Amino acid sequence: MNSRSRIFARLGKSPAIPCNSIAEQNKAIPLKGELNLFLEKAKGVGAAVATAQNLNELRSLIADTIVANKTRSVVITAEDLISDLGVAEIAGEQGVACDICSSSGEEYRKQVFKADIGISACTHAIAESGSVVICHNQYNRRLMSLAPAHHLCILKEEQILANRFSLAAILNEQKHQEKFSAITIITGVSRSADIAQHTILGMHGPRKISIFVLLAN
Amino acid sequence: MKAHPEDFKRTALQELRNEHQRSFLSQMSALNRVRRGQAMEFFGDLKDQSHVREKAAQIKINAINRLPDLLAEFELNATQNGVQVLWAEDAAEANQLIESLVKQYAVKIVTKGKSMLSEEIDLNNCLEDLGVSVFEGDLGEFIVQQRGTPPFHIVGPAINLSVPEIAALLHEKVKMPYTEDPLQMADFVRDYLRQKFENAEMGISGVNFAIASSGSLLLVENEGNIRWVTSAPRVQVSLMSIDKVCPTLEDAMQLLSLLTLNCTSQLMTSYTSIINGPRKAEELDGPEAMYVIIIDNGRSLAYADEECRDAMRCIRCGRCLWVCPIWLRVGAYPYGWCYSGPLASILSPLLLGLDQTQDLYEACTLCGACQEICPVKIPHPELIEHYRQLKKTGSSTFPTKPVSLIEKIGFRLWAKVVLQTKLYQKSLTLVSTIMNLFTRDGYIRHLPGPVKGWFGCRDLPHLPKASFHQRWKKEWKSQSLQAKTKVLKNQAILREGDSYEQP
Amino acid sequence: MKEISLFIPCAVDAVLVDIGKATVNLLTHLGFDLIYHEEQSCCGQPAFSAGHVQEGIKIAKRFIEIFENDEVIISPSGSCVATVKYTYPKILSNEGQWHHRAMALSAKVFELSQFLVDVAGIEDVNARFEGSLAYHKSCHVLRALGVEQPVERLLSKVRNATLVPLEFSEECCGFGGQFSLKYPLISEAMVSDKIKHFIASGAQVLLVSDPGCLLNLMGYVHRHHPGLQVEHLVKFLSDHIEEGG
Repeated sequence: MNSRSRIFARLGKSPAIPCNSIAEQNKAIPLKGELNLFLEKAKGVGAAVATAQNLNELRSLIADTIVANKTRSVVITAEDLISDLGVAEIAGEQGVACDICSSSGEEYRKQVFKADIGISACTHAIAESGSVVICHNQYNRRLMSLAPAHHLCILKEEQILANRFSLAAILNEQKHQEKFSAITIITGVSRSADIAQHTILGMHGPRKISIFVLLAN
Repeated sequence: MKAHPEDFKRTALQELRNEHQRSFLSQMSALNRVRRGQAMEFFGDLKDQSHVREKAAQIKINAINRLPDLLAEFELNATQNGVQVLWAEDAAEANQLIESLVKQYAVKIVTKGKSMLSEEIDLNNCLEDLGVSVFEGDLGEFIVQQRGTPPFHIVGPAINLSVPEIAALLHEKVKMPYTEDPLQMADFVRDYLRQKFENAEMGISGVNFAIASSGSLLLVENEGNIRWVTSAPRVQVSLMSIDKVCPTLEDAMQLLSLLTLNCTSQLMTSYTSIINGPRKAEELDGPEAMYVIIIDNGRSLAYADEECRDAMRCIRCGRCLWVCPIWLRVGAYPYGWCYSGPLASILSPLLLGLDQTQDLYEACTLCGACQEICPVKIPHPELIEHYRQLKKTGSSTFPTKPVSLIEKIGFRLWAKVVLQTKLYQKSLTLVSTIMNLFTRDGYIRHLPGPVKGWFGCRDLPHLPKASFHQRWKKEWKSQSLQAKTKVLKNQAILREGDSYEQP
Repeated sequence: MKEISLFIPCAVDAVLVDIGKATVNLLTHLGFDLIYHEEQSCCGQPAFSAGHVQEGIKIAKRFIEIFENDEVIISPSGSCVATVKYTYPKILSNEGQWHHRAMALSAKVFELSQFLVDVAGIEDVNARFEGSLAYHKSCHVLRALGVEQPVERLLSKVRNATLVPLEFSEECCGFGGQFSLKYPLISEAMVSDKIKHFIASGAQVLLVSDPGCLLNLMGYVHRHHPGLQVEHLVKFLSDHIEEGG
């Protein structure tokens, strides 16, 4: 008998009654989230938000952000939306180094650790809390929204969900565990109050988060 | 961390003298209540607390009752996700498993997310004995790590320390240039830890909820250190106790909001991580190997006692500490471990045994303030009475040293007397006569023996010569009959009048 | 009108006889017929809270036998009522018949203010008091029994009296039965804070609804702040009844 068997032996058998999961009770979960609520809540947790009618406007927003923050380098991925936007070109125009992370692990780590802004595309957002959600894959990497001091994320209006249960429902539907190694729900910026209750922003994560929403047509 | 709850009384005495701490905790408690009240304004479906707490309690009760099935389901699904699931019965075994991983991956630096379980098993000391440098990533945990003291509160580990105290500590231990500007202090720690986060070979985290249906871990934080610990190193090791498993993601979301609401008055913390497994083939960050160590450490033994399962519902929100009149006066240190307050009173006895932790469940007035606010409706007073009973009667699940013969005999005698009216009344007369010998100016100011603790700060009025019982028999019984007659008479008089109205 | 059976806690029987007298007085004044079973002694709470359940069970069974045929049972002690209402059915849960009898009894036992307001519909006992009052929310009354509003209603109808806010009114006073004997210094810290808040409230009288709280607070006040008034709710109401109303 190993530890596992001994533990299970002590726990005995589960009762035959199946679990009365909340999922059954929450059948009518609203999925779609309201844009204005999302913007309001996101602002409320300290995000800088803006909307764009089209790709051009979005480009301007990104360009403005890069300029305003005296950025020296950004890190992005080759993900579709970002490519379409031509973020690399935007950065180039501003004389800012832009690393497109498609290369080796070591190179990537160097780039992401030194970048001032990490730009990623979100997969979902949650209106009730003003959160953005990134399902991590080879494009939208974990460290890109963690290591740089400024996180810039781009969101499509259609991606906004109502609440945390909507997100759970959608993730379960897609069998998220088979597709993604991790999913991060980001609500505002990194913060701490561990030194005598003083508010510290950007403790180990970004101090600033900018959320740009591409409105639906 | 080595546990020493048997020092409760001695440490409590010291802490009671810390007037500054008592006043601070009292203010924080009031502030906590205000903040949470304000937060409730914004929390839609969480506003109806009774409904929400009932839901949360049901989720946890079901989850604990189905523990074997859920653990098996979690293990299966996590394994399918590429996670290696390991099991440890106790602290020694858990540390051995981690030691072999440290050797396997040639680990020199470990970064950590906040994990009470890792404190339970005294992990940091074991790692340091192996020559591994361990760095707590959470700012509060980092501070107490330098200090070598237990976390003061599960959510705010360094909440009891002032800015100058922290400044002096960091200056001494990690060579921070002395400053009392919190922002500058944070800057220093950020840079210091950033270097560790980037270079650590292994990251060790705890688990808030382990989702059985998808084999995922759910972890919450505000600082970002958990994301570093689970994303940057090559190897991730996450520690969970057997009671952390939860059926579905929806269930976890339900519990999560209550957790964050109670911890920090937030609907969601800055980062909520759902971690399924190590990096996929095409990914460039995330751990290459991910381990989840499921640790028992006494819980499966306690599980045999169905009433004790109520204690395993705890989601570690720490709110009970803020409403406990004992914790607010003695603080965390008397509890002698990583857990303190009502949370410790119900959990530590199961993990450390009833003898060593006796003060933790005896030093309680059963006021029920903890139960009242517990998000999963743990019945703390009933649990504590249960532990007291187990201590008195002993049980096969919880072997304990027998109570003193005097106490046993004392209660038996008392019960015998209480069961016989005449004997009881005579005893009252006897006892009151004896006690009244100590009266001075109508009050008793001191009595020797087991009741002397009362008189440390209080007097007792001298005991009446006649008990209620005796006076009822002699005076009030007949008066009451007279009054009854009077009432009936009045009613009769009134009934003759026209204006009388039936009640 | 119902006949009320008096459940007089041992602390009242032996020490705070005045509270028992006041209970009789108040209920009689309100027109109730009273019964007092002379065989009663203690509800067994000290045994249960100390973990000596076997002794407590014997006491509980006797209590049930004494009271189970009454229509309604009233006590001026929240902790004792909570013991009968909730602890009895629980510790007898394995004993079929006894469990039923405990459940039946539990439906008929009330703390005094709860009975007056919620059952008998009486809020105005025809009392008058010129001055300010503060109310310490005794733990068992507040949490175990959920009784908060009835007390406030009763006090609100006392003519000319003002109920002033008390900081941390819901925090335990530090009695906790044996707790005050076993952990005297922590208990002292709690009772001294409670009295500090009482003094800060500016109220003339501090009211409580549990005899344990009363002994604790009164005893402390007598030692450290003689002159400060702490009273049991029922004694206060009884003392301030205006006759002829």
